[in-house]
Amino acid sequence: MTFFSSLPLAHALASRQDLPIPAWLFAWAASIVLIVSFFALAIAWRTPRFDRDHWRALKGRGWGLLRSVGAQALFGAIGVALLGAGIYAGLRGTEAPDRNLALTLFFVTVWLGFPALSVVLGDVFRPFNPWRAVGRAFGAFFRAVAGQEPAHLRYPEWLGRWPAAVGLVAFVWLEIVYGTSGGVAVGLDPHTAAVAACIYSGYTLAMMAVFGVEKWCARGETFSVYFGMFAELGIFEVRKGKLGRRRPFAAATTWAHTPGSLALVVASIGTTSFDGAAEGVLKEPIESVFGWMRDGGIDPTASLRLTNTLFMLLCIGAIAAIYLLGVRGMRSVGKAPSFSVLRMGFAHTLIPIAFAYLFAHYFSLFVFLEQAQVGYLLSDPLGTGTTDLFGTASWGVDYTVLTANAIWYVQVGALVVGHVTGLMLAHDRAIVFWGDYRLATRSQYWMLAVMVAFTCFGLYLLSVSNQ
Amino acid sequence: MKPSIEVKVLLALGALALVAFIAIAVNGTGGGGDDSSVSEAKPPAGTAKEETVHRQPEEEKPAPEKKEPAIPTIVVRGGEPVGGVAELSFDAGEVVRFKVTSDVADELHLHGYDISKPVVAGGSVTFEFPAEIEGIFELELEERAVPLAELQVNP
Repeated sequence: MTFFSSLPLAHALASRQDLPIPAWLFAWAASIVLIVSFFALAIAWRTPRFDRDHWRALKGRGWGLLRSVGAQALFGAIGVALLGAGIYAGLRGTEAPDRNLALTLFFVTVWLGFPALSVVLGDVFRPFNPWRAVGRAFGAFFRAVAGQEPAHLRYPEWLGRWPAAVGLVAFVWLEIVYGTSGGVAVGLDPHTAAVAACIYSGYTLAMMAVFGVEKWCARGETFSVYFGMFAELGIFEVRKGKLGRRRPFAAATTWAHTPGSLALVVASIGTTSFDGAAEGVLKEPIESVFGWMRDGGIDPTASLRLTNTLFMLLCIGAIAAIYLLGVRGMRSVGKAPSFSVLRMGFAHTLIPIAFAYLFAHYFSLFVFLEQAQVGYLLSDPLGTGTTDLFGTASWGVDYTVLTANAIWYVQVGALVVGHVTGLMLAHDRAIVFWGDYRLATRSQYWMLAVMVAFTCFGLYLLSVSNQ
Repeated sequence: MKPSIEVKVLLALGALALVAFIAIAVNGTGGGGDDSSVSEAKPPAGTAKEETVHRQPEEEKPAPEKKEPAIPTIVVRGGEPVGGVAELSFDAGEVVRFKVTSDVADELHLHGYDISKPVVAGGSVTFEFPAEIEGIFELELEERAVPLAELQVNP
């Protein structure tokens, strides 16, 4: 008897699932990862390269225009309109997940699209963030009426990015765990997604009122903080109101000094792993625990949710444990800084790994569903079958645009590139911490082991998924 | 400039990994080739592809459906597939052929290929089409939303 049809939400949206990576490709890729790692360490640089990010303001009128009040209001309005459209479609539209704008817009276009843009360009979500736009408009209104700055509570700095890390887990939980019915995973329905978006909007606006718009965006607002994590690797950044260019990757080096950052990146890798593993490696353990709970008299729906929650948290815990083991190992190298300095100092090296995991797991889903997004979902967002706003309502999804081989090579390529980038960032940090090149290299055997573990685990997940 | 001992060790390890990698790669392709020549003689059409030699584990189950007369049949009883969700496996370029017999009236929907066929209670329906899209696709009883089979099309 099968309890799980497939990755619930992805499955409800896309009609084509990826084939598992064949064993020979797995062996090739894992070997390349090992070889590249050792040679990279052997030829790596001896003075830090990412210590300063060389930020320079961009000159030219066009860039200033992007930062003008009018442009910012426009971007904000676009964000608010899209959020509104998603919620409206979710509440009023069809319950067929693939025909309703809400799920594809929230969970594919935004959730997967912004990390991909951010990792190259920097924080592109910020201008479009609908809650920030509403909060800022409200702030401006307050200043105009009251003639003074709104008073805020001081944000407790020890809390750091923890609210966002918890928000990230909650979001993914909603996406892949919550949607069950009578003990069968059915995926999230558009109505629930819209209600959740309303609740989250209320919570976010309240928190912005309490702690201030920019403060909450920097620390607690899940989407800003999560997309912002990937944006640390990108090349554009606004400083003191000016748009500028910086060296790629360099801004990330101090990112994890804020508490909760490690939790955020670990949660990202852990939840993606769970999504991949639930259909492969973890399928049988999940079924047995589920069966055991259900036979123990717990309601089937609750049993399934509880089981999946448990395994998702286990995945996050396992990722954290591997990383902390590596940090522990580095600590044993002579002249090492303290455990907590190392733990925070190397957390950003996991950002490329987190992105590689996302990319490898959801690349094909994104390519297929964006066709729906700009096609029939754009023209018929409610899925009524009678609306055709832009004449694209009859467009379908062409599942032949990607061959199985193309998907495999993109997946493997993403993991290898993420791996090398992570190693590079870690090596650079080690030189800063140890000063001495030889000790730094010795400490990096540990990080190398951690990265190889993550990358090979990622490959492994792809090679057994869906079987 | 004299390379440090670390660099030498690393290069040695790298070389070692390289050797291991070549060994695995050669072994992998060689082994796969042997298996495929034993496990199946391909149906006539000149669609044989090099890539398929590597996938030996999957070949075990669908073996019967390679024989011409036996079309894989999915039996639906009481709105559920007998024996659980069936797994059908084909290579790209082949002709996919399978039959569904059902004791309930519903619509059979094959996702991805987006083929829908109505079935009457006690009736049977045959699917026959070229395997053009690679991937894994679900066949379901559309109105009951019950999955019947997973169609796997390998490159």
